[in-house]
Amino acid sequence: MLRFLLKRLALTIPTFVALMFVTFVAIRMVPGDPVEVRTGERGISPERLAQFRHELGLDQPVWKQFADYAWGLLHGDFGTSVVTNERVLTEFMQLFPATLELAFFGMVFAILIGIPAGVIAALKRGSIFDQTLMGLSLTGFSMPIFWWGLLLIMLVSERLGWTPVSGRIDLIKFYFEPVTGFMLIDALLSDQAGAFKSAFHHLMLPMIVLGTVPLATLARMTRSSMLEVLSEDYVRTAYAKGLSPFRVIGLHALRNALIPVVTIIGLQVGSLMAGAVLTETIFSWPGVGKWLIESIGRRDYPALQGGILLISSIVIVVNLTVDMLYGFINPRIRHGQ
Amino acid sequence: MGMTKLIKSLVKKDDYTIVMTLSEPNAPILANLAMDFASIHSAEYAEALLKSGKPEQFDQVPVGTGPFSFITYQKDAVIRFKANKEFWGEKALIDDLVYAITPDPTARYSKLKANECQFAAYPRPADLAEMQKDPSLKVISQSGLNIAYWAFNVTKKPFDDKRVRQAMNMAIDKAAIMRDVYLGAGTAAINFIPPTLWSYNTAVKDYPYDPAKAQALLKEAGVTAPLEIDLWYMPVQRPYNPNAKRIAEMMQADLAKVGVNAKLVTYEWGEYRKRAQQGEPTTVQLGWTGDNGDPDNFFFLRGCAAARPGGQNISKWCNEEFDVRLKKAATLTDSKERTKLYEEMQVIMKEDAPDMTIAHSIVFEVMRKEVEGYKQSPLGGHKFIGVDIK
Repeated sequence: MLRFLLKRLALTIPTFVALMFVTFVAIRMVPGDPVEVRTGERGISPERLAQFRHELGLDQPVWKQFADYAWGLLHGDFGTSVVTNERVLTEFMQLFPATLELAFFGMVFAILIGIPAGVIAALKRGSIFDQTLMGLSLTGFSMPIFWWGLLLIMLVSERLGWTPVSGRIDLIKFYFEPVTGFMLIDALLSDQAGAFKSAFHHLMLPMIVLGTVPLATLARMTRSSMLEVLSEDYVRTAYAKGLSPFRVIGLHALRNALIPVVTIIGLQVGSLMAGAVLTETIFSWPGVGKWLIESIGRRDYPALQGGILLISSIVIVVNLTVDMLYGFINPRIRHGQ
Repeated sequence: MGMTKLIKSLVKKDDYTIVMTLSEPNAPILANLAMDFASIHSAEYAEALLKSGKPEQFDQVPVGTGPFSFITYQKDAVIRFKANKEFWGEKALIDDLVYAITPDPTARYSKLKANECQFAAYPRPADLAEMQKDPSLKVISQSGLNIAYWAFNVTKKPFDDKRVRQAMNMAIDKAAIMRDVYLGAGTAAINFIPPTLWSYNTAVKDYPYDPAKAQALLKEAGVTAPLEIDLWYMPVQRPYNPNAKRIAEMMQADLAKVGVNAKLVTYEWGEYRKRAQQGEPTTVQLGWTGDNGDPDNFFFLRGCAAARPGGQNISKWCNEEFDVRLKKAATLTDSKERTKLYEEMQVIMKEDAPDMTIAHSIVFEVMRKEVEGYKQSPLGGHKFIGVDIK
C-alpha cells in the first residue's frame, strides 16, 4: 500500500511543475498587463508606467519572473495580488470555503439522486422510467450551466418565488462575522433565528445547477455498471441461495457496481471546480471561481497563477485520494493485478 | 493632472485649514480637488496601519466623516454601512446600507424584482422596456457625463485636410446609430462635452447626414475614390459606447456609399489604447467619462499638450486658436469668462472637425418604487444620503 501511495505521489510532482509553467505562460500570452488594464482611458506617463511595472516586477525578463515565482512557491509563497495588495493565499482561503460548500452540496445532491436513480433504471431496464431517466440524464449532461442557471432563476426564484435569486444569505435580515467561512455552519453558530434556513434556501439553486452534470454522469454510470454486475454469476447464485432481492442488490450487486462509480466521483471534482466558475458568476456566489474570472479581466497575474495552482492541487489531491480509496475498495488495483 | 508640478506647497495652518500654493493660476483644481482621490485621510490611521504591516486595509477598512459608517467588507460578497449618528450634516434616513456585490446585470434585475434588494445600478439596456412597465419598479435616467467619438488622425493624409474630416461627419447616419446601437439609451452628441455640463454651447449645430455633400467635399479636397482608410473599434463595451464594433460596421456601410473603403481594425483593450495614443490609426473610436464636471476635464483631450505621441489627444489635432483658449480658461476663476471661452472652443472644434462626436450615453438606474429621495449623481457615483424606504 505504501509503495502504491509513494508511486502515486511521485507522479503528482511533474504534474505540479507542468501546471506551474502552463499557468505562468498562459496568462502572459494574453495581451495587456495589470498596469495597462488599470489605466483605462486615463493617460499614464511613460515614467509612471515604468515605475508601476518595476514595482510589480514586470520589467524583469520573463525567465527571471518565472524563477522568482517558482522560488516563492517552494517557500510556500503564492505571491501578492497586484489589485488588492493582499496575499494570494489569504484571499484564496477567504473565498475557498464558499466554493467548497457549493461543490460539496452539489456533489451530495448528485450522489443522493444519481446513484439511486441509476440503480432503479438498471433494475427496470427498458421500462418507461429507465428510458425517461436516460433521456433526462443525457439532457442534463449536455445542458450549458449558464443557460440552466438563468432558467432556474427565472422559473423558481422569479416566477414561483421559492428560492432567493442570488447570494449566500439574506443580507438585510442577517449579519454575523464569518467564523468558518461555511455559511451553513456560521449561520448555525450565529444563533440568529432563521439564519440557517435562509442560508440553505440560498444554497439550493446553485447546488442543483452545479450538481446537474455530475448527477447525469453518475446516474448513467451507475446504471451501466449495475447492469453489468446484475448479469454476473454470483448475483444469480445469491438469488438461488434464496436471499431477498434487497440483500442481493444492496449487499452484493451495488457494492461491486460502485467501484467504477467512485472513480467517476473523483473525476467529477475537476468538473465541479470548472462548473463552480460559471455557477458562482450566475448566482453572485463569492467563491474562488468568480474571483478567478475577475482576476483574468484585471490581469492579476499572481492571483490567477496562485488560484489556478491551488485549485489544481486540490483536484490532484482528491484524485489521489480516490485512487487510494479505489485501491482500498478493490484490492486487485493496489496489488497490480 | 500634473499635481506634482502644480502644487508648490501644502501647509497646515490649523486643525481645520490647509493652505495650498500653486505654481501657476489653475481654475480646474477646485473641481479636481473634489474628486475621490483628493479626499483628506487620517494620517494617524495610515501610520498605525503601516506600523501593523497592514497598509492594504487603508482602502478596505476605511475611516472617515461621511453620513454612513463602514461596518464590514466580505470579499466579493458584501459591504455594510450603518447610518453615522455623529454625522455633521444632514443625517441619513436609512439605518443600514448594504451593498450586495452582484456583478451580473440579469441577477441584479432578478434580485430587484424579488425585493431582495431595493436599488440596482447599471441595468442592461435590453431590460429597460420591461423594467419601465413593471409597476413595482422605478426607472430614472439622465445624460451621462461622457462622450463617444470617432477621431481622425490629422497627421495622416488625407485627414490633414479639414474638408475630408467634415465629409466623414456628413457621411455617417448618426440617427441610425442612435436607434440601432444605443436603443434609446443615448443622445446624439453635437459637442465634445455633454449638454449637462456648464458652458455647453447650444448654438453649435451638428453636421447633417448628407452623403452627396460628403462626396462633393472629398472631391473638392482632391481625394480620388475609392479612399482606403482604417477604422479602429474598441474590443470592449464602455459606459459611453455599448457596441463599438456594431457602430464601426454601420460606419463602414455608410462610408462605402461615398467611395470610402474602411478596413475594420481592433486590438486587445490595453494594446488598442496604447497604439491609438501613439497615433497609429488613421481613424479610431474612443470616448471619455468625465471625472469632476469641469469642462477642462473634457477639452484637455484635444489640447496641444496631449497631442504628443503617447498623449491622450488621439486625433493629434493641435489648433492654436483652440489651445490658447484652453490654457487661458484654466487660469480664470470667473465662470462667465470661462464659459465664453469654452463656448468659442466648441465652435472651433465643430468647424475644424478633429472628430465625429457620436453620442452621450444615458445612464439609467432602477429601484423599487418604495425608494424615495434618490438623486442621480452627474458624476456616476451613488449617494444614499436623503434616501428613504416608504
